[in-house]
Amino acid sequence: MAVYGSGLAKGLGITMRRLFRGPVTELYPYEHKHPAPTSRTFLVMSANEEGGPACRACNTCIVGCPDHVLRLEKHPDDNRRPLEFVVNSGRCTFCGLCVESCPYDALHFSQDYERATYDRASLIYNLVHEGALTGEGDEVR
Amino acid sequence: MVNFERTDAPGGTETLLLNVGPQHPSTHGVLHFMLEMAGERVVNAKPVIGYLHRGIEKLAEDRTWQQVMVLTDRQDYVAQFSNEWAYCRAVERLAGIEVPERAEWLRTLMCELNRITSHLIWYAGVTMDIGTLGTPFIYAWETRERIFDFFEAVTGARIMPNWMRIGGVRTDIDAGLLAPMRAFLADDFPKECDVFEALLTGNEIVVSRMKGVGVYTAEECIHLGITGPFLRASGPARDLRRDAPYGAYDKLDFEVCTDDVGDSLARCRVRLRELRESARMCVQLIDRMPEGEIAVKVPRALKPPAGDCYVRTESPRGELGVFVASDGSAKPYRYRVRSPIFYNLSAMPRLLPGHLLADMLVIFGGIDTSMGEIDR
Amino acid sequence: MSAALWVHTVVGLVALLALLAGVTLVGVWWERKFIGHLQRRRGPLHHGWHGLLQLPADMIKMVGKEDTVPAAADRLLFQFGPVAAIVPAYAALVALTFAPGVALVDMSHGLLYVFAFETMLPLAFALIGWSCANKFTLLGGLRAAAQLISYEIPMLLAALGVVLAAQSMGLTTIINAQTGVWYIVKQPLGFAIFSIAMLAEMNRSPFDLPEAESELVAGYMTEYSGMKFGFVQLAEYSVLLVGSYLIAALFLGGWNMPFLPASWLWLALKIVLLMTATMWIRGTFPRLRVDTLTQLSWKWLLPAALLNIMLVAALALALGPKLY
Repeated sequence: MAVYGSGLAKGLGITMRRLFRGPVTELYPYEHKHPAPTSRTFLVMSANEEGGPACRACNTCIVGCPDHVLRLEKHPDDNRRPLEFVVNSGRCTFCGLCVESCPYDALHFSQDYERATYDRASLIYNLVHEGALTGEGDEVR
Repeated sequence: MVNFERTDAPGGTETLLLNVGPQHPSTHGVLHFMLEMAGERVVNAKPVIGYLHRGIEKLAEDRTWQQVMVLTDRQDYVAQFSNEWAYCRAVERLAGIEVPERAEWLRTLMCELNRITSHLIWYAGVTMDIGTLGTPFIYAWETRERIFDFFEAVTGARIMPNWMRIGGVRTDIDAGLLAPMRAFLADDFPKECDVFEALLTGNEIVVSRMKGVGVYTAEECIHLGITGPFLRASGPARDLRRDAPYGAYDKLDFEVCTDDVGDSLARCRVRLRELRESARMCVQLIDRMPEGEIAVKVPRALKPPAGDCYVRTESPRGELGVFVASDGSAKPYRYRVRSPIFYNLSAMPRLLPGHLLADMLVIFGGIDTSMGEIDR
Repeated sequence: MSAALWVHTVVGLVALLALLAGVTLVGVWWERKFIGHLQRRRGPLHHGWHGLLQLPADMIKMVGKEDTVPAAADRLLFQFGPVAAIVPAYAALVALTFAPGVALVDMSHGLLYVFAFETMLPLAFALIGWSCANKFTLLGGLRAAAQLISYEIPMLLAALGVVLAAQSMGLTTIINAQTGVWYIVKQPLGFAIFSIAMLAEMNRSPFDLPEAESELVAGYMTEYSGMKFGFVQLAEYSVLLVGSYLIAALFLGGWNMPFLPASWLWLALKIVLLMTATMWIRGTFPRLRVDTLTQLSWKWLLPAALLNIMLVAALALALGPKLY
């Protein structure tokens, strides 16, 4: 017991010093943290030069997705345009295989991670609806 | 129903059946231990696992070789890069793919950083178990955040990186990201390690709680198949990074941390020293990283030739083994994981009786469980 | 009893209750903020100014909770448990003297009275632990009883050294005897023993085995929900208050301050600093194991306390009442 004390005192000193260093926590949601540009968040579809979806309905992302998250319907008039592109983000694990596998760089990640909703149905959203971009997720909050 | 035969307690009294878990503040993850206790002393112990079983090995049979990577992250969700790397090595050996040198170095770097985060989670867990309110926990978490920010900038995600590909890695790490990480590891991290040591092994109360608790001899450990820091704390210097080197390990200068006492305090000391060694290794890796390609071109629908392959790696918890079998198609025929903690944990019932309940939690802390890997 | 005595008693009891409630409310808030900042985070922040209204919100929540009684529990003991905990803890407050002349009852044996009521608490905790029909709480209750009983003896012996020096058991007399030199200077060993034993009596880290969160969820209080839990917490903070008061009164001079006029402010300051010190220790150290805990008490503190008594007696005899 004679040696009892030095380690304890050192521990107390460490915590007291940390007390004066100040908090490191971020005051979310008053201060937003912006994820890195490479961060894998919710999906967004890019636009081509005419303003339509950059997707060419090649189905590579559908095949590459391990969790059956994406659904694609081809346009009846043009085989290389999508009519509907639906993302079931409730099933998505944000692995990024779809973005990586797209040969036309049509999909990319928004920096948006605040999409919690109150019901499952609203987690399913369209990136392309009736052949046009819905602009879903393009606004970064 | 779990069969549990009660034994007679000394003195003719009845023993107490205590269920530790599955919801319990200190079993890390959903571990369920059925303990038979006479007073505060454990007479019999039986682990009940399976609460986190998700069928990863079966799911892997339905996905292509590349898509399985997403599953490997989620086994041992604390040491993800080790899982990914083991799987990649197995498939690459099966398919005869040669990985470029820079990719090997990058993989080693991320794996060692992951070892640091994994040991920090262990540290946070063990200090919570023994009763510090959360102060060392938060200090460890702070350090982990720095490494996670690095992970996010490189791979895109903090915990589930999905970064290694069969044939290499997905993205490169540029010098702008490496330099601050190197500065952090070389300058700030050793001081943080001093703080961690002072709050755990330098604290007399912790020493009184852990010294001489759960002593396992080297022979017992080897006979029961225990590997990793648990084994190294009992004496034998068995580390696959040195005995069967892979990646860039044969070009690094590091020492295998052992201790010859074999009690809980020794296990803590081994892991704290491994933190420092990993940081040293990362600094060497960053300094000597060669230039080059980060991946070889591999067909998207990879079809390795029929056959099987078993590969061993050193995860932060022990010897992680991956067995893959292919029948020539685009999906694996069998994916099997030799989880190190499964074997470490299954050795517990032989070694636990005779200890006090408070010691049980200290011993659990020494095992450093991660239930995702036990149950898969 | 005369009317004035009735008024004095009732007002005093209500004031003590208010003090206890106030100390609990502010104490829990301060604990959460202080330990939070030790851990480089902020603690409660949003309700009220920096979280001051968090505790009233918690109390409203607690009062509104469903009062569950486990089916297998002993109903009478279960309902009686919090009463058994809070009544002795509250009764001990009656003997405390907060300023020269300010006390509900200025007893000539105040110290004995306080200790007598504090020793009723192990019984209450064991009772609570047993009545819940839960193995975890049983273990917690037994641990609490073992710990509190083991640490009473060194505590009482260390306090005895102060009684020897002050020649009285009354709290006012002891504090008044420290107008010159505090007893911490005269009996440092006694101070150390008393502080450690008092920390154990207060169920604070590193001696918080009975409510070992990570082992036994909430120890002996696991089955209590709502206001019953609130009562046990109140009892614990009452012991914290009494313990800090005793350390301040017996060894740190009470309301005396060198070179400054005596006032209740100094006593309050000392109590606040002592409470903060217990929170500081709580945030840094892990808890002792059951057998190490009892070993510490019986093998180390008890002989040290006896040694302390002998030293004090010898010094008192040698130096005489003027110097000592």
